[in-house]
Amino acid sequence: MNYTDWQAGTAVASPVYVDANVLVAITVTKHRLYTNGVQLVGELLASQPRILISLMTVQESLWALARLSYYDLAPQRPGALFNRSIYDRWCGRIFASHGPRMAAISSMLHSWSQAGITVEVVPKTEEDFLSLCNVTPRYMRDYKLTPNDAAHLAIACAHARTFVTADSDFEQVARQSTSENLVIVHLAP
Amino acid sequence: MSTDTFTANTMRPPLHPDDSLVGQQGPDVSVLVRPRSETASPDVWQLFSDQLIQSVQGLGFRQPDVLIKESQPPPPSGRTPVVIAPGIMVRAEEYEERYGGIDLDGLKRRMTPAVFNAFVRHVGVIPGRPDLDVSRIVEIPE
Repeated sequence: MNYTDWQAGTAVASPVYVDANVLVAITVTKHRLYTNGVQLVGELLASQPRILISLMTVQESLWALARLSYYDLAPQRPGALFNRSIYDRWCGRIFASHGPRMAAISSMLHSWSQAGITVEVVPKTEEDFLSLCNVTPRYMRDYKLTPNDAAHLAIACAHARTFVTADSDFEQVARQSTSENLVIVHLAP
Repeated sequence: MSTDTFTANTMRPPLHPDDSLVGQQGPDVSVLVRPRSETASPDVWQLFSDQLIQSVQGLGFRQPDVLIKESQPPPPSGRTPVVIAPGIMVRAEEYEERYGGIDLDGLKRRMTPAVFNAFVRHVGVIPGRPDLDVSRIVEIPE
């Protein structure tokens, strides 16, 4: 497994599994990863790749958008707590004030698909799903990953040639892994 | 943000001591207008300032140039619309925020028109904050 920080011109082999943090980064203009993220995704789309998405990607994106909306409505310090209890209290106001933005990621993926980019959801089959369920806890143990990160890695290893993420935790994973099939492309500022 | 129209007859007293200053020395009247907050639209304050100055001038007072220049907000440079792709037009300032630093021309040459349109339409739709950690904010709590 190889790990590389993305820079303009970095070749990204298809199919590409895209992490939620990259999708969120390219929707938030003031974010420090925004410019590089948009350039990365632009170059990616220009190469007409197969883009792979999982339901986890959508869930995590939605959570991030809810969190961003909460930060806008109740200005918080960087990295302020946002949990289920806060979400329960703020849900109504989040959707009342920022409802349309909650569709930002799904709308973007839909547009890409409509424009001719192949956007596939993985896992596709029951067999595939069960296989990933078996691998995920092994990745949790071997690489000390959270369940979600382990599942993302399992999906990427099974289906993609490239995993694009802003999460630098995968650098350590790439160092330890002996798998040759996957390239982790890290979105950095 | 106030949207009132100011004339010599309907001019209201300032809502706040810092909103405007009107002074007179002999035949000269000086008018200094400034927005109360950075978030107020410069256009409104430009309009307010222009109306106030015109009203005072209409009463026969001459305006010294120096104070007016000091009080004028920056020119509305971000208002020029920029067409990014068919059906996608943004103001110049929004163009800079969303597409500044990105090689749009290079990407446009390499993309089909439909992909380019889909690409530019959705990036940067949320202003957000510069201090966000995207790796953390996507983490769903247990």
